[in-house]
Amino acid sequence: MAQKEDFEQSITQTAEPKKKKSDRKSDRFSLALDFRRNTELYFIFIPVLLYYLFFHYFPMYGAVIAFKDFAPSRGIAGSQWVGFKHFISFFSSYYFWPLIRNTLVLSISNLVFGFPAPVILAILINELRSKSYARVVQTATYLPHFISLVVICGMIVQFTRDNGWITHLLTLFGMPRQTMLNNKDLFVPIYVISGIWQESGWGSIIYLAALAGIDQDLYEAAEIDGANQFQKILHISLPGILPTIVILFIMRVGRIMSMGAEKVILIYNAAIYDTADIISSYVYRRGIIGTDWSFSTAVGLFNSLVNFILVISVNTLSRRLTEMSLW
Amino acid sequence: MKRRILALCIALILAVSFAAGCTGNSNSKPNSGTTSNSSQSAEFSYPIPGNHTLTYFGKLHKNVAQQTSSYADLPITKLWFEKTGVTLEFNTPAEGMEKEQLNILLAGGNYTDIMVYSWLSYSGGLNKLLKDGVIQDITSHMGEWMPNLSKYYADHPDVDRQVKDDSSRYLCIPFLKQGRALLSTQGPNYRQDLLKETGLEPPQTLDEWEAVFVKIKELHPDIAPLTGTYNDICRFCQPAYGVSDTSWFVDNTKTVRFASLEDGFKQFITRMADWYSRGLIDSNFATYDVTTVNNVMSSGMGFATYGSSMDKYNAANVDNGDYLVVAERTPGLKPEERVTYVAQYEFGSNPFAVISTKCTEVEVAMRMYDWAFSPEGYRTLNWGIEGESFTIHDDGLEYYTDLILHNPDGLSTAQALAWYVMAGIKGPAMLAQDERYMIQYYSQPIQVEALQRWGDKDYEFRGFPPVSLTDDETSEFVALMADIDTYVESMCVKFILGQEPLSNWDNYVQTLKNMNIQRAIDIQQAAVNRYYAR
Repeated sequence: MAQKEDFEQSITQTAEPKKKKSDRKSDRFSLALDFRRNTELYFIFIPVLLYYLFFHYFPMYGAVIAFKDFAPSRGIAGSQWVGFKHFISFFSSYYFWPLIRNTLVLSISNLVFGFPAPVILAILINELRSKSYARVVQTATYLPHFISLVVICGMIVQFTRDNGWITHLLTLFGMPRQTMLNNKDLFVPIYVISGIWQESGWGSIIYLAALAGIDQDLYEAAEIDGANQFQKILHISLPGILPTIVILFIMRVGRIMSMGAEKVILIYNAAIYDTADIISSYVYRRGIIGTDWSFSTAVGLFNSLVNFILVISVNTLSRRLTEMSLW
Repeated sequence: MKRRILALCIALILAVSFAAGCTGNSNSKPNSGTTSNSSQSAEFSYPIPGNHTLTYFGKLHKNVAQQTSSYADLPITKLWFEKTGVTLEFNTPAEGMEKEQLNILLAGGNYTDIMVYSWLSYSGGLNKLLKDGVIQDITSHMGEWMPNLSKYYADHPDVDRQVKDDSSRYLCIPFLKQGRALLSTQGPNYRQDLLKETGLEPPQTLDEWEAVFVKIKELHPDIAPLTGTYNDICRFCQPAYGVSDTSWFVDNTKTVRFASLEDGFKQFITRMADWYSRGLIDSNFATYDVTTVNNVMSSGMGFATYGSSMDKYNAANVDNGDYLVVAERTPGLKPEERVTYVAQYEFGSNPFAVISTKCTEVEVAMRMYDWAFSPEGYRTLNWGIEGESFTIHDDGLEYYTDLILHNPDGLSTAQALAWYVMAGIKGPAMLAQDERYMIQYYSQPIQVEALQRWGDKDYEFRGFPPVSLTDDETSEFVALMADIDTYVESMCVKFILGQEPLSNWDNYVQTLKNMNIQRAIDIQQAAVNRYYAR
């Protein structure tokens, strides 16, 4: 029992990296002294503190149902303790390893191909001479972000049927006519490419802002030194936005295991579970449809734990290699 | 002589009143013991005095929600309140939100007096709710406070078995489908105009369907002969092989079978794989959901499917020449053969009521809901207000008026019904639906025909009965079936698509055994045994 609570507590402490940072700072000097000096600031801080307590820390109490057989009628406190039953049930599931593999394959493909896309797009837009044309391109590329996911997925499914226009287009390049979403090898490309189409425009905004912040004198100096367009990108633009890239990358890695279920559920089908079924879609089928809340929570906790380890390691790695990190 | 007769009379009266006293004492609460049972039931009459108010939880039916925000606005609800003398305070979440709202209600502990929900789908079922102290066991008061419902149970022992739990307790007040027309609201349907082009007769067996499909494919290569989701295809063709149309059924020796392990199921899958390879099944079926199937049918891209939406298809194509979708019976392998293990049950598919432990006026609640099962209540809740929503014709039967069937304000029949009849909106009162309600509601001849054709199946051996699993059984069963269901569906779809050769069938069966399907079958068997022992 004590062990479980310790585990619980460690989750509670570790799930909020920002908090840890401020704790560490406050160790170095006397809190009482600082309070006397900056009383007003501490008062201003109270609402923020309350926000985190009520909306981020207090709800974590609910995570204990991962170790209980939760029934709404008995409440969280009244439900029976069952230890690691739900974790064992997940780890020993027939689908455990396929799920982990699918989640990682999908997530990493999404990271490898999806992450650089907005960076490249931002640099391309930045290189455009005509500012009004650049604005048109920018608007056009980030518009898909505002279309509801349900609509997007409906379009994907429809366009990739054996009579859809994407399928039709690809058959001109030699692909056999088929219902693309019945082919398990095509699920990951469809998922990743549609993701790039939908989100890279929106994702490029932050890089464009970072690019705008680069000192124009640098480009002029480079030009005088005889640098061509490509060399300017390589030696000025990219290094200029590298901190942004690194921070966004670390944050992205922290979400590797928690691929959202929505898009997968909306486009997969039973024929391609082999590659398309990921942890969150499995949890959705079992937890939400089968009302097995404790089980879903246990898997959620497991996911958070893996994500947390990933963030810590990538952050450490990044600090060692590039001296840039989240904290 | 006179004396002897008098003595005999006195002895008889004594014996009768003694017997009455006995039953009275065993049935009634201690504080009502002053009045004897026989005189009390004679005394009681609606409305219940005292202006009681009870609280109610249940979804707001969409036909009501389209028109008003509360059941209390409906003339039929007002009439029900007036007749019974009890008023309900409504907590009615929108359809689709009721599950979430129910969980909040249960977690908060502020249960309403009456709670209406599809309790059979609640994990652990009614027994768990009783154990957790959410609902009341009303068995001991049934005879006294619900005489009409008790009589209904006595007249319909099948229904009685479905409603009571494994320990023969009554934990709920049921909503019942009375009559076979109400038990067959789904089935195969197809484009009659296209069938005429082929010159073939309406198909009755799978072989005849195959012949029709082949012909359709020849004449219209763009139209998918058989369309639908994977489940639709199962429900269309699987029953012909004697293995139900879902995963579970109980065979004629009361043995539980997992359909997807049976030889008949293998034959079904083999046939579907053959059909798919010949282009007789929609090549996109695996990616379909209900909405897409409706679109495919409405846009004329499909010939036949399974379901209950043929009215929608026809409505979308009123201006489209000959387009007409009609119903057909579920096909067997031989003509005249009735498919088994598919018929529904009277109880369980609709939401029904329980009385919570927070209800202090149990008698009032039970009597209020019992009224619906009295002859007057039955007629009122099924037909509405005499002279307004229905009239009685010369044959002594009720018929809806034009207010319902051809509403002067332009309401659809379903919308007009919602104001006057609870049979359609399935709440807030619980009742036994009259099948003639459905037959009249379906005004077009092809709809009535559909009810007859879809109803043409075996009612002796029905689908899987409404059993109840215990708490522990539920969690074990859910955990086992989560993986098994996923595996079965993905393998069967792949078998049909030809991605998995049928020579792998034995591996498939072996994997299911490794996934401990036998344990799941044992759990179901135990529950079925308890069900038949009720």
